[in-house]
Amino acid sequence: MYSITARFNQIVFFTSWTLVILSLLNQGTAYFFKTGKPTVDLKILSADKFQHYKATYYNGGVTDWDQVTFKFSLEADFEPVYNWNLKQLFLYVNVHHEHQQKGYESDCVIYDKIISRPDDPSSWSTSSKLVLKNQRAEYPLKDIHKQLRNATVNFEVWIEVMPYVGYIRREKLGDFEYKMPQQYN
Amino acid sequence: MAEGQSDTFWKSLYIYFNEMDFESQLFVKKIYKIIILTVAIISFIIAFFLERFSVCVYSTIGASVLCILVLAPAWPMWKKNQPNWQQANWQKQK
Repeated sequence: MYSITARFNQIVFFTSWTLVILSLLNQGTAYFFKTGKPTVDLKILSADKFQHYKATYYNGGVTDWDQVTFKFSLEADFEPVYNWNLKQLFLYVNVHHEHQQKGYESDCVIYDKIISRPDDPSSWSTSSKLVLKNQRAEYPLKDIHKQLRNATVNFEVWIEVMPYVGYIRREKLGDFEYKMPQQYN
Repeated sequence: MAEGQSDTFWKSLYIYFNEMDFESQLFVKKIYKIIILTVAIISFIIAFFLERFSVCVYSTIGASVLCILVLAPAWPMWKKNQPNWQQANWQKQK
């Protein structure tokens, strides 16, 4: 404490240590809060533009695939997940389909959304419920093996929980099955 | 420094803010910890009930900035108990 730099150094690093310990306490006490599982309900309204697409490269090669764009409605309540350590949620809808004979499975994300805290000034809504009506999926589902006709696909709703302090974890909220149309439309 | 020379303005300003009494140094060493810990604990409890952790962080950093401005430089209040220095004797000893 005999020089100005020594006093400055001690104050700054003591403050840093207290902030580290407070952040660990922040993460630790968050587990005493409610950390339940949110409820979600997904309804597939339609499968649009289900067709066989073709594309040609510059070098003359040709590729073709099946492609479909979905429309769905989603209702969810995220109240069980909110605590003071939560910064935002990343919600995404994943389509999982398997083909038993050829033995492949594939995942495809068709919709994602960032949900911030309801009391954050920059958030989209002031309540913890999310209602999407007649929402068109952002990304289409493509299948290079052209096996989507009459297939059973599985819609999974996932959530990625991003805290202020701590590690990020992913949770699956629900599974919904859907049978694809028999023919292209 | 050789005899007869004196410091520049900036060097003497640095020396002015650098030198602090020994008793003030003991006091400063005790009190910055007390201030920062008290502010951190009270603001953590307040932030716990308000459910905003940013309250705790901002108030702790603000308390530390206040401590740096008041406690780190040697203001006149920290120079009250000077030790008795002897006069500088510039004559060479034979």
